[in-house]
Amino acid sequence: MKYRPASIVRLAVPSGTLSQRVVLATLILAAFGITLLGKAETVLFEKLRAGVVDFVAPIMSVVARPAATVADAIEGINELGRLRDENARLRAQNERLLHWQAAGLSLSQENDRLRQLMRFVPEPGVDHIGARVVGDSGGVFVRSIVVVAGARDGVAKGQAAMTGDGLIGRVVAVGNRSARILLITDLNSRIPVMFEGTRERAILAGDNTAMPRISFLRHTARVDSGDRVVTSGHGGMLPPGLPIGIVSNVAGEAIQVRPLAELDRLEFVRIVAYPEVTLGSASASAAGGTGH
Amino acid sequence: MSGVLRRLHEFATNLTPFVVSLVLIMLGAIHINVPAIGSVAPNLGLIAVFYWTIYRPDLMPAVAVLPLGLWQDLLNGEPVGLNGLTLLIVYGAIVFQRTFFRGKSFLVVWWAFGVTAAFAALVYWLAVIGWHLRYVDPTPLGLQVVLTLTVFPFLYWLLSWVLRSIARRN
Repeated sequence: MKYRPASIVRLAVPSGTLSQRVVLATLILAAFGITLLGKAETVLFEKLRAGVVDFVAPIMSVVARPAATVADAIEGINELGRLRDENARLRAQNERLLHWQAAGLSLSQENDRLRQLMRFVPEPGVDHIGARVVGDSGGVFVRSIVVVAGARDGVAKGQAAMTGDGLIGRVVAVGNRSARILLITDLNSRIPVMFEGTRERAILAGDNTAMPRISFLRHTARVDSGDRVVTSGHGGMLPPGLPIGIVSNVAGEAIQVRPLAELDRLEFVRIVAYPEVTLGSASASAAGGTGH
Repeated sequence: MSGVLRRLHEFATNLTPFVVSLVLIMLGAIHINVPAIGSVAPNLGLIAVFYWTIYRPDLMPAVAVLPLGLWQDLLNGEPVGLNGLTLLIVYGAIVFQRTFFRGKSFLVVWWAFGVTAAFAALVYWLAVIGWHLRYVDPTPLGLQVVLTLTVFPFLYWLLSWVLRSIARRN
């Protein structure tokens, strides 16, 4: 193939192989330097990352829509075949859920009455922000997603992201109109949790597999497969009691949790805007209260 | 065409491989709901850099490879710099061998890309271990290599089309 050499910048065409090697070596060193800098100075890169994602999120949103439509259509055809069975299953489930709804309502009323009796300080109100998933991490060692909802919609770093089934992760970077959510399966994800039955606290740590592991659990704690794992609310940003998963495997020290949400089929997520509880904000509001 | 317009046109043409690579990396980050594939997506950036390094190295210099790697890191939420480092090392390995690829059949290029992708995966895996300072399971990376090799013929065809249109315009 014949072509006329050109360049996008003058610097790009080195005069000889030696200078080419020098340029390459310098750039490799620069990349290495950036990597080290990224490990030490996280705030700057976080801002840069949020800016880049903010910039491309609208484009990604437009491109992702037809792709999602095609995937939905295929899924729809698959579901047509299973319609009858699915209908029967849903009827049975509906009956069961109605029973639970009645039980839930009566328990909730009883709970309210008991709280009044105890003069229980109510928890801060929780607000939900719905968001569409547009980006999936193409990185092999990163489990994160990009959603079209950002600071202008009330999303803040640290908030919980859920589907109807359970917690999927936490907001780690926020742009103006987009945000990145680190999934609970990611290597860097750490969520304070507790077991619903025993109220034993622990940390749910992702390890890039489909099933995160429990760590920092008391040695004497008793855990069985089938136990439900929920957020403990420690750390302030996540409301307590959000469902996360079910213990699926207990082998000695290693406890694996199967997430309730289907993390590989996320289309819409709910971000839980929970007012952060800190001593600072508590004393500030107390001071404001006494001023009147 | 006047001188200024021609220069502008030439500049835009010369920028094409870089822009195409940027777009491919962005496409790789888009969420497509395919349960069988899960969260692993093909490494489109690697294909783009490989292709242009062989066929138009003058339009894919090392100074363009680093920003592409950083772009990939920022979009994918990966540690910043790791893809830049990996792409540059892989670029270094290809750029001095590129005469080998000239005039070879597609199957030979595909095979060579397989070797390159495996090498890139190894470099990236070691870089990730170095970054996290702990062992990470390389299985998803293996899956990515297979997936990248699978989409390679289609992208090769697409990029060849871009290459031809650049050659015509030049």
